[in-house]
Amino acid sequence: MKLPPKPEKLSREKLLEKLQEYGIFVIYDDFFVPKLLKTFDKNELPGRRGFAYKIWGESKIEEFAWRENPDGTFSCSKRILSNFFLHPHFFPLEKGSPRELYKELREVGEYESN
Amino acid sequence: MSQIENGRKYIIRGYLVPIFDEKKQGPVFIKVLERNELRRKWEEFITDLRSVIEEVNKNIKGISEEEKIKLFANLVTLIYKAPMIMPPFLRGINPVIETPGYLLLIRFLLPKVFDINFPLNLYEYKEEEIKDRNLRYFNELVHLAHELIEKYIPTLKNIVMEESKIRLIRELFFETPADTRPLLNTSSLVVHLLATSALAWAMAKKDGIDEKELCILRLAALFHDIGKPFNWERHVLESVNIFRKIFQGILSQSILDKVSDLIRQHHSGGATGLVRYLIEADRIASNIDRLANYVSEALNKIPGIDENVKNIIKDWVEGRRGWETFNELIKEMKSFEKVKELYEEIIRKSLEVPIEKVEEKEEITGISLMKIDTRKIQKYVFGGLRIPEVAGGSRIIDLLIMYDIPSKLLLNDFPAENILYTAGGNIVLLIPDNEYARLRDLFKEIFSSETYRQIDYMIAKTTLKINIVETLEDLERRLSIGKIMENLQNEKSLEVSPIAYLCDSCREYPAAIIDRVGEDEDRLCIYCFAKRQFGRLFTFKSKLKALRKSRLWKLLSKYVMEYIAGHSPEKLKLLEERRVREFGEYRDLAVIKSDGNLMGYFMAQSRSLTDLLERSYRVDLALKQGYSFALSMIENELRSVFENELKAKEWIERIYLGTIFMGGDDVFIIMPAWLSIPFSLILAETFHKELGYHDELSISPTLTIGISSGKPKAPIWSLVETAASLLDYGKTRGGRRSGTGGALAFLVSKSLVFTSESARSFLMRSVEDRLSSMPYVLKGKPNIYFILAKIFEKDGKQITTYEDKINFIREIIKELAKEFIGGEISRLKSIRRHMLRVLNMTTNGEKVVILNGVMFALREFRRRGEEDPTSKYYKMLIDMIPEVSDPEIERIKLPIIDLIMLIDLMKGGVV
Repeated sequence: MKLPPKPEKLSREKLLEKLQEYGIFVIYDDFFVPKLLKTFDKNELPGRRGFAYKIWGESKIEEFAWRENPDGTFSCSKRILSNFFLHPHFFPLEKGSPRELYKELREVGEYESN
Repeated sequence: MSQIENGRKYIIRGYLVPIFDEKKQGPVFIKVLERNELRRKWEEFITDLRSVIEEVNKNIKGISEEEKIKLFANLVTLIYKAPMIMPPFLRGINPVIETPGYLLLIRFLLPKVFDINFPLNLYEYKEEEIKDRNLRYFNELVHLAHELIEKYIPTLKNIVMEESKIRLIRELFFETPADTRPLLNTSSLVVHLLATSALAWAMAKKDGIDEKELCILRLAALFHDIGKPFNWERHVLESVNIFRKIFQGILSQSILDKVSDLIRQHHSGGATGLVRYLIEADRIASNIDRLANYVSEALNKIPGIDENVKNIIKDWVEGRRGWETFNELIKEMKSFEKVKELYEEIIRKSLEVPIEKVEEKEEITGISLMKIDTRKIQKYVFGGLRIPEVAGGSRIIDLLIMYDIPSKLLLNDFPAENILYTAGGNIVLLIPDNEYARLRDLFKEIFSSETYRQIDYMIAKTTLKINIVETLEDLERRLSIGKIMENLQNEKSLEVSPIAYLCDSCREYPAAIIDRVGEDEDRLCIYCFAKRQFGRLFTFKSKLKALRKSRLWKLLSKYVMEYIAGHSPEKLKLLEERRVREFGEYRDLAVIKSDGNLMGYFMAQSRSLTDLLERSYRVDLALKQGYSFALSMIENELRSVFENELKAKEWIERIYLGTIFMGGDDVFIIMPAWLSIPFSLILAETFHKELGYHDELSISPTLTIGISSGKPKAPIWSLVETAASLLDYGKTRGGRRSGTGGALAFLVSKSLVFTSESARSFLMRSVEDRLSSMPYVLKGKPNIYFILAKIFEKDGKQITTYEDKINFIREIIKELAKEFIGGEISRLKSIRRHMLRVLNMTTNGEKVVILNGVMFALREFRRRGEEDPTSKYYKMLIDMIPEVSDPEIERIKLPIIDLIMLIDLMKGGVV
């Protein structure tokens, strides 16, 4: 059985501090409307829940996910993904050809984890 | 005296699962074997075995003696099991070398014999390698390894790749009994050797015996009774001689002596040291105590048995006499025939003894059965977008279960005998408890590799009990508890990345690769892409290679479905050039799915570990036999009609190409629709026949088959789903009843795209409206042969035995082939047209009034008179009514929908 890693709990400040390392953010508000941020924005982040991405290694991507708990803390988890295509809803495809997240992160700025 | 001499000439093999007797056209429980003939066969096998071992030994470089013994023990085991691990042989078609069983042989020989370590396991492939389309290197490496084997160990290649050799091993495997005494003769010698070795290893390993001793023990166990076919009465010395004959000059003198000593001592009681493991394992594997109980229970049930005879048998039951029993019985009864009858009677009566009556509570502490079950395979295999994914998915599961896991185990010092059996997505091992943690980690490693990450698995373990059925039940119970636990835990699983474009095929993982198929672009996740690549390279391409048709690969990679449906390559070129008008008739293809009925019950009747193994091997072989028999028969009949060998062979090749999965009791084949009915019938009949054709006592399992057909352009998932739904429908409504001989359900989708739900509701509706009587069964009512006989104007009442049925199917194939060539106005076509008229009369707007249809048919029959050939069609329909209607419920059924669909199917959609 493959179980996801146990989420870790962070305070709002700690989370914001951590998020500065990342490049692309997708956040959800109270009504679960998604929003895409290409830079770190203290006013918008962290939202009710969200996902952040940065480059990991040579071709992989680190995804950081969080969600707000009733007590005001945030449950967070991390996982490594392989490079993938972006959904046209967030990143309109150029002339029908798909765009890769890895390249997108490169363009936003070299956010690489050590 | 000649009768007594017969006792010296013959021995009797008993079967708990009956075998089919051609003369009697029914099941028998015993088979008489000629001692000399058996001996000659074993001599041939042992000569082959010796030369394989010699050739392997010649090439071994720099490994320790311990490793060498281990290698030979595994090699012997795999050769014993060769009939099970190799695919069925088909005339004129080379065996595909990427077969899991053959790969396993190559894989474990390579590092030790040739000192070569190719990345030949799929779990070794990393994501980047799959992405860079490097999977084809796997194929090249396999061919390279194959050439090595071909060059340096040619006998091994012959043994597993040549039909006559495999047949020899199969005969030895299933015919040679482990004993001559009544009921003890029901287990197979080879299975007994394998089970003894597995048990002995597990027991010794549990006690922490060191590796070298373990290897010696295994080798001794694998040969401890091999002398029996040469001398049934004094087999111990003979076994030692044979063992020495095989390994003389290959193993060192001290090892030879040690193994010989073990074999020599295995019948002397109260021994200590290594041999006690062998003795204990032998006792448990032969199940002698339990069988003795069965015999004494059975004896009480046989009336009028002679006292002296009873005493002789009782003597062995109470453990005083062994080998002489058979000879003494013959001397006492003065007739070989009578002994034969007695043997059969004892088996029959012992089958009536309920298992609980002789149940033993004994547990073998420290030894367990371990089952690894892959989960949600159906979704993994059939969830694909295009056919190569389905083919690749099932091939990956096949390789995982039959190649990757076993080879990983073998490379990590786990004996091949202890892999008890593998069947459709699960694998059962016999392990000592202290090995469990290590094995679990090995599985973790395999399943977390990139290739297999998408596949879920579950492990269950339970202590081995003498009562094997209870052990199995316990194992299943643990698995189902695990499944519930998993469902509870799964609730907190992660969501997918919100900005990812999800795979076009599975919609579960983010897409990472673009795959171009014609003008379409599919965005696939790495797992689906691997599946698709696999399907292309290792299913269709390698099969075309086996057919020597690699040149067609480019065309067929685009139009494989159309080819399978029956269009020639020349016609497909028209499609390629977009000259659709010249294309002509567009033929249907059919998807066939099958599943065994009463399999659980069949397995639960196992009397011992060896019996369990033999049952699972027989099921596996029964399906293979059915498949190759169906193909050879179709080829023969087509040849006689087409008068062109090549043309007849092409149809076989289509079925072969469309065979996506076959194993255990499970079949998934895509084939030309017009051959699907005869093919399924032969498959189901032969499967049932190979397992005894028996409906009482120990019930022989049957097959339920679902056939769904449609145009090649129809989405494949729809056909697959429909077939699965039909299979389910057939099982619950027909197949599961005993005495049906199997069930058949079919559906033709003309221009509709069915889903499993809509297919089911269509069937239910037609049955409710009494226009259909699906599913049809092979024995009893509603009988498929009756319907077919009416269509082809034969006497349906005459078709009762297996032989009749096969001959009848032969005629059907011929008729269909003639219809296929065409010429005069097709009879089937005209029946269908008239049936449609009846259907129109029956359905009046929304309402269905059966009586209207019946009245119309009667009137038409009368009006047309005897001279009009079409009047017969109406009579045929009326004749069918009593066959399909249920006499208890006084409502008649008019099977017009079934008839129309049957004809659609048999005409391949060209009506």
